[in-house]
Amino acid sequence: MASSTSIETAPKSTDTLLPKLDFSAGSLDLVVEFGGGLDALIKQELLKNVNGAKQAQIKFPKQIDQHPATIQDLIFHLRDFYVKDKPELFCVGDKVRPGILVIINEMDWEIVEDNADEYAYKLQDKDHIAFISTLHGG
Amino acid sequence: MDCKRAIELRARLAQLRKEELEIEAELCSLEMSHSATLQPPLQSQGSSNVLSNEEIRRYSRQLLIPEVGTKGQRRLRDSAVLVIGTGGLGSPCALYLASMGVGTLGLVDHDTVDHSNLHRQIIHTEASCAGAPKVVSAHMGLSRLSSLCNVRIHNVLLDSSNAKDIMNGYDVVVDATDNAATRYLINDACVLLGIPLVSGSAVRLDGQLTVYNYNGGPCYRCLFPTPPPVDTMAGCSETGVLGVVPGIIGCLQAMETVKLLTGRKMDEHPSMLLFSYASQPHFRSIKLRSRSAGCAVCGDSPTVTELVDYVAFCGSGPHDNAPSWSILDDPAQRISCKEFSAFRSTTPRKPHLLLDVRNEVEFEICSLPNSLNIPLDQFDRRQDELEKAIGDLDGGPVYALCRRGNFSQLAVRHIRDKLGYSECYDIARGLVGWQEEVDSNFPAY
Repeated sequence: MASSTSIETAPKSTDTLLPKLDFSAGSLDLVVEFGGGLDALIKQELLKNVNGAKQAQIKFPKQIDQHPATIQDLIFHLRDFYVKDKPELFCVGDKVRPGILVIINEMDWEIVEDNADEYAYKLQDKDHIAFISTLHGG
Repeated sequence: MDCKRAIELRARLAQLRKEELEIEAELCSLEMSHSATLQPPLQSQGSSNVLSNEEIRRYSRQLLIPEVGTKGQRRLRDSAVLVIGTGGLGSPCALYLASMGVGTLGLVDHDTVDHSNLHRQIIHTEASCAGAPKVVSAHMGLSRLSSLCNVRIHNVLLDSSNAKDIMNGYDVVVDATDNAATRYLINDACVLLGIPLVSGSAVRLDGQLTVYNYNGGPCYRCLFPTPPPVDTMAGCSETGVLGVVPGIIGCLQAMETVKLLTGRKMDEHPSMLLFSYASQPHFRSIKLRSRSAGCAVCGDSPTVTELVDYVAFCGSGPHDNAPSWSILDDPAQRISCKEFSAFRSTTPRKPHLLLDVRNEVEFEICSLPNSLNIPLDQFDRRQDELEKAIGDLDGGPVYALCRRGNFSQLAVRHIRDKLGYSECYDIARGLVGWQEEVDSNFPAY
């Protein structure tokens, strides 16, 4: 899909790419991974190569608009600030685009506990969230 | 003397290999046209409750494993597996299924063998590259390996009109295809026929493996109810693939098939296996949802009760791996390879810039002489370099070139609209066209 240039460490100027977030209600340390070629959609300077996986380590507010932060909030954040130039290859409307599997702590997000609406999943500190594109080739 | 003899022997082997393929092709067409008499019907095997001495000798190392044993080995012998696609995934999968003792193997493929297949499609050989159908070539690979395996071939493109007839009666279906439309087709047919599906895929350096439609687990549509956008469906011919990666996934498909046939898959929770060349560890297993009650095909109130038009559903089909875009509306902005060749041959040569906009990896494979390589996705970053090259032309023309004449059109639009330089033209059909229309010695990739 795109060049496989891997950037080992995030260089200095990522501050200008990201918004100021409100951590007054606390923060969550999240690891967000992009697989199956999705890393090509993401601004390379925001990704780290951790044992071959393309990850973003994100400090995210515990609360957004007085509500516990959900994975929907995270998806908006990724769409608006992490995706390079084709947000439609990551999101269609408010939802993750068809063909992307969302994995929370090594589990299909549909079966994460107490999770009737997967977009309402309340983010937890140290969550590992992976967005994996399905492959078709053979 | 020895040298001469070696040359003779090599020539004789080449001749024998050619003859072997011809015999195989004739046998295949006989078996297909007289299938009623020459091929036993599916699921008619299993007459014998014991293994023959020949089978015991051949499968002894496998019989020693309690997970298989004589009971499991008889199950394999009495089973029929359909492998759809005899490419990078299907090659090792079919070879292992036959070698492990699966009694009946069906093969489906509509394609012919090409040299660009050989680095990963290991069931095929150089001899087959003279236009042999993949199923005939695969039939040869399997019949060399085992006379105990009954191979049935289908030299057709699987579609909604033939899928259920071909798939009906098999115990397991292996999806070893290369496109989204066929994956949805196979999934739906498996659900309608009640057959478990072992699905694998591989592109570049990554692979994925899942068993669908089995024991309360999900089907492909439960996970992916809506097909992805067309421009995210990259195939091996465009993005490349490391030969062994589909091999790894294809071998695992054979293993999952054995687990299904011997009843050892029952206790496992549905999962998706992710493989990556780069990551440590290479494998990760993701726990998957169960069958979705709202699924359009396997749910409680299905809306898909017959096969549909999957090319329309997905917006692209099995043949659409190499798209041909029409981005430039004005035909005057595009010239053919022949016209460009004539222009380059005029003496004295007129000043111009031949701008190759492919990425560096492709440019390294082959390029036309005196071309400047600036990949399309570096146009912004290398704008100064680009503008200087154009400025040096004194108003002469820029010709944009790529592999197929798709991305070069975007380059022409960029140079005309963003850089404001209107003496810029696209070379239609790109280097593929150059090889076919102008210089057959130019490498094709």
